[in-house]
Parts: sequence; structure tokens; C-alpha cells
Amino acid sequence: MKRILIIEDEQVIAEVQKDYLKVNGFSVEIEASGDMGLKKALSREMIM
Amino acid sequence: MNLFFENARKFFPVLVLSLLVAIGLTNGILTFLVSRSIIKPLYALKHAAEEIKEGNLDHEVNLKRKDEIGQLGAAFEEMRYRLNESIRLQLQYEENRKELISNISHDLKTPITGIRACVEGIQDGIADTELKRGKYMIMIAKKTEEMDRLIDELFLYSKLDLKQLPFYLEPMDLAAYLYDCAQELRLDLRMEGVTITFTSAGNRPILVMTDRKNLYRIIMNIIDNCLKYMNKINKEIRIKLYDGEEEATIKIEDNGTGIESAALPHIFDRFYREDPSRNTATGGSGLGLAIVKQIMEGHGGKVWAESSIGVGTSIYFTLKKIRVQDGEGS
Repeated sequence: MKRILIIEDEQVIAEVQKDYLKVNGFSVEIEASGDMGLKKALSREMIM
Repeated sequence: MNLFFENARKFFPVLVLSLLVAIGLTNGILTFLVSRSIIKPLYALKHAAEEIKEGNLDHEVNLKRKDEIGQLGAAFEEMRYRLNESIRLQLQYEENRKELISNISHDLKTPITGIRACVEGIQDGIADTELKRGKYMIMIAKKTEEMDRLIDELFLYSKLDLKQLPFYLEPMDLAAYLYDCAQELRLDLRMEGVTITFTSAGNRPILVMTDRKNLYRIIMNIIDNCLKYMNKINKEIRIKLYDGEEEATIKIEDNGTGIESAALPHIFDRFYREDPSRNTATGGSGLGLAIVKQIMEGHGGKVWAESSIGVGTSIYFTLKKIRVQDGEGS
């Protein structure tokens, strides 16, 4: 399954985006801060 | 003798003429000098006035004189300086107002965006299970609540700003009040895991004039702010009361993240957040401490903050004391 990382500090928006992407067959992870997001993006393979 | 008169008669016209010439010359030179010393500064003033007319308020006038003309020049210079200051201040206010509108728009827009996203999600059938729909409803409710509180605080702030909110100042024993306050806070659910201490210097009643309802609001807003920036395992809030000659000082100290010294003077500004991205995850409208400042100004008290990074922040405010005989009289 293709993985997508969402970096968004507004939790509600991130959650809704996650649900949309999930319905369309992606695996989604959420990070609230840029620093943590970058760390996660570099540690695992993400398509977006 | 005869020769003298003869000579005098002979030279009389020449004498008169040379006298006239001398008087005329002195007169001319004096007039020239005096008029130059008056006209030159007048021209300088005229030039300066024209510069101001054109909107250039940075053109300085310095006549380098101590007489009346020098005084006129100094008065003119003073006027220019004041005018310049007032225009600068006006521009600053204008800038603040623009920033305020931009901040309000941003902070109102964020929850609306969240609500819209949830509603669209439900409409598009993304929330396909009952559980998910429930989750969306909770998110909508949270955002609505957030916006409601922001608007309430904005309304309160603007009423305070317009001085439309009357203060009902009454005498009160601050030491006993803060003791009760600390007791009440310990029972508050949000204070779970936070140690609250109250110490009063001298352990005696300290009578102050205050508006009970607004004092409570001040304390709660400061404590809300403390709670937002707690980052240690042993969370502490220490309330301390200092007795002074004219006023009593209250210190509310936390052991949170601390505030950078560059940001410290701005924390009482409306909508100021240290974080430039204006993350609302910490909650709050950005008006809490601005409301504290407004209320303190209405009380005629002072409010200020001290902080060190990693150690914590202390917020101080003062309330005017009632002298004992006044207290007994009322």
C-alpha cells in the first residue's frame, strides 16, 4: 500500500484529509510539526 | 579769531555734508546688519514651514541664537518634533489595527475551515461508519466551541477597550481570597497533576479595592496561560502575595517552558503568540493576557512578566491597598 505523510498542525483538517486518502486506498500518517514530519519522511519511504 | 570763523564758514558745507554722509552710512550698515540678522532666520523658518507643508517632517530648524528669534526657532522645532511624533504614532496604530484584523480573520478562519472539512467529509460519504460520523461530530463540536469562546473573548476585550465595562470596586481581603482561590483550583479537573501552592507574606489580612468578578478572570486567564506551557513532569503553579506600602503585589509563577526575553514585552499584546505559525493546538484565543492587561488598567494597577527559558514564567500584578483607617471607615 502506498504511504502518504500529512504534515498539518490543525488536527481536524489532518484527520479529514487522512480519511479521504484512506478511502482512496492509501496508507496515511499524520505529523503536527515540520521537524517531526521531516524526520519521519526521511526515515521511511513515502510517495508523498 | 577772524581766520577761524573764515575757515569755519568756508568748510561748513563740507562739514555738514560729511556728517550727513557718516550718519547715512552708519544707518545703512546698521539697517543692513539688523535686517540680515532678522531676515535670514525668517527665511530659514519659511523654508522649514514649506518643507512641513510638503510633508517632510524631518527637516530640522536650528537658528543657533538665544534671543527672541532663537526662541521662535526653538518653538518651531518643538512643534515639528511633536507633529512628527504624533504622525509616527498614528501610523503605528494604523499598522496595529491592520495586524489585528489580519489576526482576527486568521483565527476565525481556522476553526471554520475545520468545520467545513468535516461537513464535506460527511457529505462525500468519507465518514462511512457510525464511529467515524461520531468522530466528525465531536470535531465539529470542538471547533464550534473554540470559535464561540474566541468570539466571546473578542467581545469582552472590545468592551474593555471601549471602556464600556464598568468595574465594581469593593474592599476585600486579598489574602483570604487567594487562599480560597488556590483551594478551589486544586479541585479543578484541569489541574490534575499540577501542584498549586499559595504563600502570603506575613499571614495577615491584606485589604485591597478590587472588582471580585474581574479579579477572578485575571487569575484564571493567567493560570490558563501557565497550563498551556507546562512541559515538566512535576507541574507547579505558585501563587505568592506580597504586602507593600501602597499596593499589594500578586505573583503567579509556573515552571513551564519560559518565554524568550525578546518576546516578553509582547505577551500582553492582543493575539500575540510566540509561535509565528499561530498554532491553536494549545487552545486559547490569544486574548487572555491582553484581557488581563485591560482589566488591570481599569483597576489602576500594573501587570508585568519575568521569565527564563526552561525554568518558568512569573506574572505579577498589583492592586491598590486600602489604608487601615479608610478600611475601618467604610
